[in-house]
Amino acid sequence: MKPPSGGPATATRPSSPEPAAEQERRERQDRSGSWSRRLRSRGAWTGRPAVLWAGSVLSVLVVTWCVTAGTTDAGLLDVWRAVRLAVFGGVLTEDFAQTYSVIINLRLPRVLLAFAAGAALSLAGVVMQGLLRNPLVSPFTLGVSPAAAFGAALAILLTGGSAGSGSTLVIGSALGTALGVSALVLGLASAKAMSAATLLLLGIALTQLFEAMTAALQFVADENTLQAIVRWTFGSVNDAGWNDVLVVGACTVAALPLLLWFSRDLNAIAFAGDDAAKSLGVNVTAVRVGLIVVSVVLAAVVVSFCGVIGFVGLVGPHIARLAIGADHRYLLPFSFVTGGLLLVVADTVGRTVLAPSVVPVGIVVAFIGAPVFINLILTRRAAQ
Amino acid sequence: MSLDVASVRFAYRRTPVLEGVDLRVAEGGFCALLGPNGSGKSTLTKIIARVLSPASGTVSFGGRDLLAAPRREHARVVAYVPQSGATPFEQTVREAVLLGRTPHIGLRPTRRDWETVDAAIERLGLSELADRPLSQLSGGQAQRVLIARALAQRPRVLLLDEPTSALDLRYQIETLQLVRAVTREEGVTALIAIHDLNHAAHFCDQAVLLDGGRVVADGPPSEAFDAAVLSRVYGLDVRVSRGETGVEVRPAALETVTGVSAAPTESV
Amino acid sequence: MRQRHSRAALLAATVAVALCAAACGTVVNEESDENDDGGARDGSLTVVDDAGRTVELEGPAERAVVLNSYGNEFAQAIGAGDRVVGYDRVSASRLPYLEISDDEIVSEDLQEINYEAVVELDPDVFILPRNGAWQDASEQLESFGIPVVVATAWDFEVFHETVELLGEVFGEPEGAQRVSGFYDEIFEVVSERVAGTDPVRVYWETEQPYLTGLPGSGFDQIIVAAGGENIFGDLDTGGDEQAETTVDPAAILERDPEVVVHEFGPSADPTGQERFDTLADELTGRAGWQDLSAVGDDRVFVTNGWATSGLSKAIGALYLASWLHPDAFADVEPGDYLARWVEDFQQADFPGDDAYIQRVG
Repeated sequence: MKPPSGGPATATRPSSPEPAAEQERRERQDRSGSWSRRLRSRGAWTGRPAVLWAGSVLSVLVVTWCVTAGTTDAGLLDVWRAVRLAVFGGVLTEDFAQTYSVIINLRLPRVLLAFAAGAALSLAGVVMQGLLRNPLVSPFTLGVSPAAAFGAALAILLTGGSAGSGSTLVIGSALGTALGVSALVLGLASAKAMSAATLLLLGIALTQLFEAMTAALQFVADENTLQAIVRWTFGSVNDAGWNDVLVVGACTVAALPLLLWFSRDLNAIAFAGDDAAKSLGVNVTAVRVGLIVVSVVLAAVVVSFCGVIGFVGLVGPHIARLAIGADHRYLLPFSFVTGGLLLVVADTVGRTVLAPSVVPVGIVVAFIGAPVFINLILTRRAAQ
Repeated sequence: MSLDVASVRFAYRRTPVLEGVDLRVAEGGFCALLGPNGSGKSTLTKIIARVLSPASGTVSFGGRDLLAAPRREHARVVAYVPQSGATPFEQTVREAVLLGRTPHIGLRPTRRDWETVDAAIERLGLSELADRPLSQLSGGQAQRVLIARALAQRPRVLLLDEPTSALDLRYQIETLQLVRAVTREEGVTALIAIHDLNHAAHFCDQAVLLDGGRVVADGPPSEAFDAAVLSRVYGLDVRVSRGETGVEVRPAALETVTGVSAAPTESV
Repeated sequence: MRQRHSRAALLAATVAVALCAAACGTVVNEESDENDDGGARDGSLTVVDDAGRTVELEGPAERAVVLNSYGNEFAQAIGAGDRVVGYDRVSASRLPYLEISDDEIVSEDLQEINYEAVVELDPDVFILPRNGAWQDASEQLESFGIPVVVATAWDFEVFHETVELLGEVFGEPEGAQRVSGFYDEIFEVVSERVAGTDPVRVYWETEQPYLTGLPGSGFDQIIVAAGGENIFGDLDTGGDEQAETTVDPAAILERDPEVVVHEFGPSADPTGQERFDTLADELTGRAGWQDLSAVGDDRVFVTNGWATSGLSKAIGALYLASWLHPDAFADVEPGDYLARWVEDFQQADFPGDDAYIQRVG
């Protein structure tokens, strides 16, 4: 290493906050480069924590705003008053009782459930895309969603509709089937050394199989059960309760630090590939199985509580990646934010756009996500 | 200290690839692994890099069993440069080289890690490209990023799996010069799987010729290159000439076409 | 990175604390002099609904939200239509004579219900059929003190129970009696006249091409009641009152029905002649149908479900019986009964039965 006083600043540098020196160095080194590239590259290095912070603050603001939106008039003050009352207790005046109940029992749980579900699916999507080294993969690639839908449909059908889509039996059946099928996929793939291609192909096969099985159940379903089954196939947070929020939220919040812990290994697998990651000291098979299990559990929990909400698990990671880069140490927390925001906004649009009717969030998110996604892809290509 | 490979056997399912390979590379040596396609050079490199596990045999460095060590510890000793490093996600050169620190870093890279990364980038002449996305680099630049990644790993043993096959002549030479400089200056032991016999002869201290999963020649290039053995192994009539600049290998067919041979030629 | 980890952990902790706190805070309701907002209600009322639940009401409903168009027809028929303040979108489109405005709609379907909109309407009771999301609805509306009653008006099997239940909920027992009586009257006319007649082979198609009712279904039951024989009556799949299936088109030719009925989705809006014509062409133009007895004898009928499935299919049964056994029903004009149902019970204008039911060939 050259002494700091000697040669170019390059030898002792970065990550230390020396914007002036860094800029000077860049300008010396990158004389041929264009302004835009220089700006962009600097942004990529120094801006990421800022982007992360901005995303977190934006989430809080958007979530708060979404709680105020809806059929019943409620302002920010009402929300604050209701939350304060719920947290610290107090006397509920009669004229505020209905607004309080709407905010605390209807809106807050649904907004938080939407955020948690979106964050969970987005996180799971990042992990699956990284582990399988394929940006087109989603948390549902291994067949989680059709399996869960089948489990739910079976439970609804067998109880003749007396178990609603939010009942413990239906949720349990969906979760059990989703986890069982994922275990099957992983088990079968282990015979082929867990290669990404094998996992993908098995996922496709089981997706087809379970979609057909769910369709078959719909075919034999009668008026009593058909609507509940169909409803299951497009996700909804309309019936969110605090229990749902607790379970989905706890899983999601617990998963983030766990995944961050493995972000170094995830980087190695995603960027360097299996062989190089092994040579970099990563136990690729164990990490892949372990993190896929985490991702699948997240997706299965969300699907079991909210039904099949597609697209977030695919688009959330991409939006995050385009905004903050592909380094998983930043990508994981930021995709948590983008996925959560995407679903909260989609749900708020869903319950306001045709108010008083409620459009299921699973439908809205595709309508919002697809154009956003297409726009991001096109502008990104143009920039290169 | 030396890198020792002893009776390594390996088979893909039923097809044997390596049938008892023994070789030793002295510390700081630069060894070329030669042989026709399918001779097992890549496989042997991957076994030493612990990408593949051998059916039997041992690999050790300085007497320490590399195959039994925990992966992370192994990765601090041995670095591996794969043939190509296509990545499905966008990444800058600096981020890519930082991956080389994987076996060293905890949760976050320290300032020292970044210094090592930048030194490696500098060494490969990539400083101007440090913040470019990999997708904007040429094949030669991308290959140098992979080597920088391996250097950032600060290994004692550097393995390269045909790193020059996709490069133009200038980058081929530069890459080999660089690896040789690393072995000379830092005492790193390098093992390179390579096709070009003349490049191997010129840059490497040791040439190991593999054929059908066995070592058929091992020694300094000038001694290891034998026209008869090479002709048999490659199934092509070759001539080996020894001159002041070292040993040189040419297919006999080209020799007759050009008809020029200044140096004394040893024919089959 | 370490900072970022601690930040994530901090965030997690904050959320966890917030969630716990939200569940833990003690909220005391302000004591009010009156126990309920109405004050002048008749006191407590207990009903057992279609899901077998025992539901406590504060008294006969003065404001109700009713989902499903058949439920709204019944509420209107028993004379409680003026007390329904909220509907689903399907009821609004099927029953234009109820003049339902947009701010009275609380859901598109029976599942995705806007509970806030329900709460806004401040109903005494929320009524929906058993294929609606009643489990979720009762959980969501519990904290607002709005009881949920399951009443399945589309189900042929529980007609009397449903009418009686709605009569109790709305405090209209006489209205419920009148509706039940009208229904019984129609089935008496039918059973009296079809007694001793030979069954006629019927193919009854609903909505989709080749979708037909199976034994156990309401459609099969009215075919039998009207002195007919469902040509697919042997396909016993052990289904219930909604058992329907799509049949092989060739099987219809083999079984050669003498009467064909195609019933499309219900709407009280008079059906345009175009729709009848289009359906007539479509039906008689199907491969091989020219050779069916029904087509040869001009006994193909197209009906609007609002008429033939009205009053729990009683009206459909009467029409069908008159088509199957025209001689026995020579002195009965089914249109008169439909007119009574529309004018007396639904309080709507009756444009004549041609607007809903036509013989098309």
